[in-house]
Amino acid sequence: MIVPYLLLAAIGAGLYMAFNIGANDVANAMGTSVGAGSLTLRRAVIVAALFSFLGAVLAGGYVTETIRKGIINPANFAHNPHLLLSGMIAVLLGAGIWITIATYLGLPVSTTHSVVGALIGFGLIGAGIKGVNWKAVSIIISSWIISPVAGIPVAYLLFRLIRDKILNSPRPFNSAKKIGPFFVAMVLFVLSLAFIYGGLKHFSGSLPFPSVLGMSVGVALVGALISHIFLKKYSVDEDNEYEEVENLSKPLQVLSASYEAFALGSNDVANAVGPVAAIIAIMETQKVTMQVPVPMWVLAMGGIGLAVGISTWGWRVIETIGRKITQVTPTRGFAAEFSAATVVLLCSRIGIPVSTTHVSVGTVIGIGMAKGISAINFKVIRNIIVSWLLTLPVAAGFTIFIYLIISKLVV
Amino acid sequence: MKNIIARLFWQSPFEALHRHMLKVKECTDMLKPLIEAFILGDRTLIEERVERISKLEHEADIIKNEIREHLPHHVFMPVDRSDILRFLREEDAIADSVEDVARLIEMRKTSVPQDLKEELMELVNKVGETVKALENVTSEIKVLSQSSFSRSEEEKISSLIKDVDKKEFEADLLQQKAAKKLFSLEDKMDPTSVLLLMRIMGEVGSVADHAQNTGDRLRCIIAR
Repeated sequence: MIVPYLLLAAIGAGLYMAFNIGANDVANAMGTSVGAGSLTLRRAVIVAALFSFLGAVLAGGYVTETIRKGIINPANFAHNPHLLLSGMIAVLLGAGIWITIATYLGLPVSTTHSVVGALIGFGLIGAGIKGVNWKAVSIIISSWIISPVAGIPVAYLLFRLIRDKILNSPRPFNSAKKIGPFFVAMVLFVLSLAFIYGGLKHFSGSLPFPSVLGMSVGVALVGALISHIFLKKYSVDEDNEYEEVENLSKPLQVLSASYEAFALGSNDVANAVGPVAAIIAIMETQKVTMQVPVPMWVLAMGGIGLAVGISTWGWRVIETIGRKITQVTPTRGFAAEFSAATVVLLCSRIGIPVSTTHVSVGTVIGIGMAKGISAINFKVIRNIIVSWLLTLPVAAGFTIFIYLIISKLVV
Repeated sequence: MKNIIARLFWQSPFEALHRHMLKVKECTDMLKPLIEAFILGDRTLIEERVERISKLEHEADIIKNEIREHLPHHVFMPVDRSDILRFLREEDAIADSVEDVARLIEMRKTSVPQDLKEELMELVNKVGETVKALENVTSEIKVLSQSSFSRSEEEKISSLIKDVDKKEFEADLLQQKAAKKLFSLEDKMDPTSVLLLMRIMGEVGSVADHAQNTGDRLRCIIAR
């Protein structure tokens, strides 16, 4: 009798987690587009909800590790799969509650790190100190340093490229018209590479890499050609050339914002649906395996949770950011978003769970170092460090607490 | 609601610096009407204009303090923080000098000799041109930050600063010319008036000096 309740609880907790990701990470990623004036608030919310949903459903993992990043060895629970059931619910709730509190306090927490912290808590209470894979935990800790640090050079180099080739030239507007197609090609290439290779392999079967590469190059060249034809005709009165360059960059920023939402949806949805998928698999098979399939409806549920999170709480986050960061312009926003999305995708391919929010902070600092932003508040670094130090133990603590309550109720 | 990304961005000082400049310019624009009233010897007109100058100088001070308060040490900028603060101090000193002129004129009833009027007006006009040239420079600061401190924009500002230097040099010559004229008239005047007129002209000259120094400070900011 207890099983349907557990399933409902799991779905509820998974939705709550997806809601949190939408309200936090995705909203943080979209804010700069609104601040730069490339997207209106309404359009930003629509783009974010649509693309993160697509990212979750099309590119979210159809197979997930039973325990994210192998923090706990599932074999510890092979003798009693039900222990893992209630543990997973405790993990989702423990991580979710911490994210909600942290968001309220203005601490930039990572949803991935919260899930990891929650898993550590569950591992400790469920299987003791030896139940936690501390080596996997140390990889997580290394990501604390990697996520902001990886964002800085990528964004710095990308903005330096824009600066040296366009803004620094005697005629910035003409240079932008000339070099614009190159940037369009670059964005489309990376985007289609991520989309076709990483994302759609579930549908297209695994295409051989050379043909994926060929398709991406094709898309990039077509995009470059179209933008070249369009830009050739484009001319304006050149009162302030820099402003015209910014206007030209708006479509690029919208493109990279969609890319970032897509990347976020495909990566972070696992935080919400992974534990739910694990619960469903355990219920069906009564066995504990290393990997579990993720049913389509669970991914869709995660996508809906993301979209709901963006449109209910996230839009306010986007609005706050958009109102406050008037000094971000489309060229800067494009550099920040494009490099953040690329770093997130690259790191997750390598297997390092980075925080999108932390990477975004890194990319903004990188652009500041390339003299792209007038004033950056370095005090936020302190907030980031505080959130790093708090996330694992607090999420673990919440999870232990909730787990104890659940096990009292269930038993 | 607090948000990390929103908090990461600090208010840009560059627009506020230009806002301060516009206030200083408004204040120096009163210099000519003030000297005109001084030459007319109209006490009520003088007092009215002195009061206006003093009010504008105070408003410039308020903007200056706002900028300072908004530049704590943990703010990271493409330019050196202390360079900006030094620039601001010089820019503010322009308005301070205008107010000093106003105070000197207000404190004693001094009549301006007929023969000195032309030289005095020439000097005041040139000082006004110097400050106008500086305002042309500072209005480019926003574009400079838009261009992410591009070399072509820095060169443009450099050449605009040279214009300020040129005007200030001309103002120096005119000040010297006016001083000579004043001393050629010393026999017909009481010594206190000579002394005070000398000081007033000196202070008018320092309005241009501070404008030049402000330009110099900007040079340091964009130098690399």
